[in-house]
Amino acid sequence: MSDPRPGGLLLELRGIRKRFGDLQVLDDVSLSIAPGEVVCVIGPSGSGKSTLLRCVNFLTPVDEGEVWFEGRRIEPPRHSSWNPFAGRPQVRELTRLRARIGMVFQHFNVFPHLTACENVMLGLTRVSGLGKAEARERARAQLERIGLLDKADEHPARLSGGQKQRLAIARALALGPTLMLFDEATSALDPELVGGVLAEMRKLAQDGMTMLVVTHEMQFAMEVADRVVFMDHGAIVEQGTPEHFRDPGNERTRAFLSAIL
Amino acid sequence: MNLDFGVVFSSFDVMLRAFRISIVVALAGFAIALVAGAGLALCRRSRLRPVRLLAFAYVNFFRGAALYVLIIWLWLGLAVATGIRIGTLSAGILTLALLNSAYLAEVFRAGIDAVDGGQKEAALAMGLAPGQAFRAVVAPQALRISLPATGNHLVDAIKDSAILSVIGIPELMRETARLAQFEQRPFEFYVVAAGMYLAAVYAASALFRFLERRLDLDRPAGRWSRGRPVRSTEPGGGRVQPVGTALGRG
Amino acid sequence: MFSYRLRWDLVADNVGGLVSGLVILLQITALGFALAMILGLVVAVARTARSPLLRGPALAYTELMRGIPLFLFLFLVYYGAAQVSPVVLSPFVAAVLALGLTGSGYATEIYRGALQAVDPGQREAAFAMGLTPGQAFRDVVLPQALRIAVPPGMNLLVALLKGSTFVSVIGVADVFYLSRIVSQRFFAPFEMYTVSGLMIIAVTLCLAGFAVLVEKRFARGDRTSS
Ligand SMILES: Nc1ncnc2c1ncn2[C@@H]1O[C@H](COP(=O)(O)OP(=O)(O)OP(=O)(O)O)[C@@H](O)[C@H]1O
Ligand SMILES: [Mg+2]
Repeated sequence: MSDPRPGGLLLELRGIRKRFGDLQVLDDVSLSIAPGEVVCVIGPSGSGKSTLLRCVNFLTPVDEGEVWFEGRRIEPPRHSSWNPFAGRPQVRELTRLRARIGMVFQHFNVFPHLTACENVMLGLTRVSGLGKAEARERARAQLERIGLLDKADEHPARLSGGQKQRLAIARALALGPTLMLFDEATSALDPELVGGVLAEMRKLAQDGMTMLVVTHEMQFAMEVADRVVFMDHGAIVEQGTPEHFRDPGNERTRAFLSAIL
Repeated sequence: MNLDFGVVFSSFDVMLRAFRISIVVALAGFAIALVAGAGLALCRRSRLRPVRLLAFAYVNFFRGAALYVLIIWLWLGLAVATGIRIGTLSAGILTLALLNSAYLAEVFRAGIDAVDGGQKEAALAMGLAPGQAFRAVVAPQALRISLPATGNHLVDAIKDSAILSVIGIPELMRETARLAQFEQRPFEFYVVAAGMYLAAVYAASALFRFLERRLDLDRPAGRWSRGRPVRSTEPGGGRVQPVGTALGRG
Repeated sequence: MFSYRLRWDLVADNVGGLVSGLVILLQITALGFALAMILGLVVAVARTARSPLLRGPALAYTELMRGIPLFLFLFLVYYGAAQVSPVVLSPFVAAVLALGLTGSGYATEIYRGALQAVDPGQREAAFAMGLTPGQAFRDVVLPQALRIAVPPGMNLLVALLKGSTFVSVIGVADVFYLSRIVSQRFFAPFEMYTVSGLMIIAVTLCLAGFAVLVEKRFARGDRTSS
């Protein structure tokens, strides 16, 4: 459990397997990410990209395999269907780790009952333990960074899709994560709003954030990624630099790319 | 605290007879309400404005009335003042029917509304007369959609029948109260009576679950095998008890 | 109506009693409702728990509370409790308890529906940012569920008001209790019962109207969807 981590990786997935009923959604997936790396995951619908991302912070518990983050193994909670208190220690540890992993969802999942500012403040007061005043100050600074300061006191219902997604990014960044997960952050957006969110992600990559990005935006992947990972049927078929993907070796990769480009 | 259920069981036959009266009253009132409710639902869709208005007024008055208030006023107030004589049993059945017909009218109306307009159009396009289209195509589907809510109201009618004890019908609640006082064993008697009501309520919901399964429009071997998906008439859907109606008729 | 001489003067003589009787009914309704909503939340949390050890008893509780007639439950609480325990409840307290316990069975279902209606993505987002399960419930899921629960909660309030009308059967001195006494003394049942009934209908209509208003306000959904 405490074996030393190899070569300063930030995240390492080893032999992840996951099935939903009869469907093997992830089949022996291994992937490692070094600090500062931007990894984009592409692949056809249903290939298991979202599930892979959700396994990193155990929103979906893995069946088999290990997840290592910042040199520590993330222990899956051992819930019991009888003992309501089982799994508490792991949940506590997991909660601590999750605070260091930001996640951005396809459908934003901003909190509709809180204002933009309160959305960002929630993590600062509850997770980072800041006082109200300091949390508000930091939240406003985050909102200013992404150009939403004028919307600070609006509820999400009054924001556009693009603004909601940028708010979600600000909410995650406010906690100072070392890794950011993006699950098709732009697919629910109208075309004219995609650019703003991608710009935000690009800026983040340039600032040196470690990012694991599931995306259908090939343009963005080619431009920003250090490494591109192609998944199909729950397995990593091929990975390499964006240049490599201009002329991929694998037949399935080729077919996928020619279909979406 | 020493409980003695033996006393209850020596009067068990009395309670069972009273229970039978409860069930008969509830079922009779509900049966009348089913017919009247269906009629009212049709009246609310009538082409004649006065008919619509009358039905609307009836439904909303009785949906707003509490059963206890209604029964007290009708049979201790109005009937005495006007000199109307009517047996307590008929009075109880009538009151249950008045209230439940209003509830069921709403259920059926919502069920008819929930049947896709396209269904009716398809039937008319086939050459069925409007009346035929309603009877052969719309009504069966609406009935199926209305089943869960109807079942909930039957459950409520059974529970509500306990209130009828206040006008002196010798049903389960009244007999239990009498025995409990006589034997000085209220806890035991009320617990056993509660068990009887629970059994009746359980049987009623089981019956409706069975009917729902039998008439499932989506089931390939169902009675109406090529129907459309069933939508519930109550917000929150299917089997969830609509709270507004449940203990609400007091 | 011919042989019956109307005695509205009896009503006029008892205006004060009628009003205080109505206030008692409203107090019982309000307290019973508060009890139902608090108990219901606790049971709903158990009802949606992972462990069957919590879910099972919670389910049994709601089925029991919703299957027993309130009218009978009132007698069970008032007379039954006095028999099996040393505590002697006043009719008022017994009425509040009966209303609150029965209501809590329905409140549980309201909360359960509301909790399930909150987008699961909300809880996931809360987890993903490092909130504990307790914090995620308190700060993210519950506030949204409460909004969803408002309209059916209002229906429950109206239902409990109707249910409170018969608490005089265990001796609560409400409007109907007074009506019974007066009508027995003077053999004039029509007037008092009519006025009492109208008072209740008026309050019910006000509440129901208020419920519709609240429902409209919340159905606009201006803060309920992301
Ligand atoms: N909670 C679940 N229960 C059952 N099956 C699931 C669940 N979540 C995902 N799946 C299935 O797992 C497979 C992979 O899903 P996943 O969401 O990871 O795909 P994806 O690569 O993200 O696809 P997309 O590009 O459409 O988002 C799909 O077939 C999906 O139906
Ligand atoms: Mg996906």
